[in-house]
Amino acid sequence: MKELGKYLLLMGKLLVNREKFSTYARLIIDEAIVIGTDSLLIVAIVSSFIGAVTAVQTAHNLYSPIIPLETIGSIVRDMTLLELAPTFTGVVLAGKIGSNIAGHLGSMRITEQIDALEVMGINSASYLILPKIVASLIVFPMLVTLSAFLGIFGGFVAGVLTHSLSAEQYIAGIRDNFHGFDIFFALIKAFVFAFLISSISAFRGYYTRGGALEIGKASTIAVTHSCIAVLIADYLLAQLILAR
Amino acid sequence: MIEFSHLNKTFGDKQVLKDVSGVFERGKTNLIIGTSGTGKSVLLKCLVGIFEPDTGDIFYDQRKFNVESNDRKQEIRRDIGMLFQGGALFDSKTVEANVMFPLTILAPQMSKSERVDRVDYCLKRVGLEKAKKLMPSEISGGMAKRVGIARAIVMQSKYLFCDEPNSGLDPLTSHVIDELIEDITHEYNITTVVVTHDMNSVLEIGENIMYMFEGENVWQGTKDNILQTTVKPLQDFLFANKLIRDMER
Ligand SMILES: Nc1ncnc2c1ncn2[C@@H]1O[C@H](COP(=O)(O)OP(=O)(O)OP(=O)(O)O)[C@@H](O)[C@H]1O
Ligand SMILES: [Mg+2]
Repeated sequence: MKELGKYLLLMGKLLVNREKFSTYARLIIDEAIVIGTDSLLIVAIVSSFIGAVTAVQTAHNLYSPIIPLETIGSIVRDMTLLELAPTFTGVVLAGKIGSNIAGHLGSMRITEQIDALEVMGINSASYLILPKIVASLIVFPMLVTLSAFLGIFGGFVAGVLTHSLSAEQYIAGIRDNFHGFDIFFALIKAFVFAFLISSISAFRGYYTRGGALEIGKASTIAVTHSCIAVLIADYLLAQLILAR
Repeated sequence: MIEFSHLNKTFGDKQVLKDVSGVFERGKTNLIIGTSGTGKSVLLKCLVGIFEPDTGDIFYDQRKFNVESNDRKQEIRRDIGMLFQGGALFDSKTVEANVMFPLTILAPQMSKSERVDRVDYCLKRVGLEKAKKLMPSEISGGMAKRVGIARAIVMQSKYLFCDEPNSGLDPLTSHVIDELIEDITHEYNITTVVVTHDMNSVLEIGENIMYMFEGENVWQGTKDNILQTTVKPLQDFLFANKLIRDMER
């Protein structure tokens, strides 16, 4: 409970006594590039395989003469958009970006770089954390979009290669009964996860105390807590938005 | 001149600073000495505002520092330069960018070329004009401290704080750093405060020395009268450094 209060206070501190906007613009772009390049490959690999596995599994389970094969495409599409792309990306990024953020801030803390900023009269919390959060909010939706695309594409490749269904059937399945809202929903998830992961990890790293060992611990805790937060948020969003 | 009175600071149930008062004078190298864990770094961090003291007042040339007004605090902070124990260089920036950093944030009115000139001047002052393009990971500990000094003086600070500027350095490099700090202090007539363990520095540059023991200021004097002290904890400290013999205690 005390931790939660401290976290909220830190979030408040991000917004007071900020530097000029132009200072942040540069930092945000730098952070966004780092986050993007760091996670592009792993997100791409994970998503393609998840899509492929979903297609093969679905084909296996649905093998019945009365269900049209197109359904496989529809199922892969829905699963990927609604759950797999945002959540897997979230969990993967919690590991990759979360530990990165916590480690970076943790080492800045114990080598007194954060104190150095404070002495210069800079609000270190907002100078260091705000760009990371904003950059995550920009990049995560892009990664989730990519993930969804690659997931569906992975399903296509696997489905066709295993002769479960033809390319035309898969594409027809994808187009059948499509709700634009699903894309919107995936992007909402991406925003929420981006905020949770970056802010929780930053919180952990920013308040690191001690030495090199504690940086490692802060990173581990950051990843664990971010993952849990992502999964809880995933459930709550599903309840809130889908069960209207 | 920095004056502070009745500073108290507690972490949890541990009182680290106990009613500490003192004066650090302008144009002099003021030293804080004492055994490990007596609160020297905490005092320094209270003075520069990294920690908020529980009670007590701090004045920078009659300007009250620990006031609620954030503007006043920011204004004084712009006059403060600090050298941290490990240098605290930003590890993603080059040496040049590190020294430039306070200018880009705090002196937006300066033109690009003015800034470059100022940075060149400061790096030259600490003898590192050739190391401009290196990253902090590529320079030695002694060089990192000199970069730290350059960064601390780049804003033409009126107050310079150094936390153990010569810890972990060989005696020769240590001597060079001490001389640099002393020269800068006299040249710019600034108020310099140095936390140190090093008795060589004490006897060399200690124009005003404060000895801390268990969170209290128990002795204040100069390098010329420190060896004649009658304060027991300070005698022990000097004895451990082989500067006085047992019979003089
Ligand atoms: N952020 C903090 N939170 C809790 N306790 C702290 C904190 N910073 C310092 N302390 C405690 O305050 C005491 C004094 O620490 P300080 O770092 O000032 O010692 P020091 O005199 O600088 O010692 P050294 O010469 O070893 O650097 C120590 O017991 C330390 O545990
Ligand atoms: Mg110390």
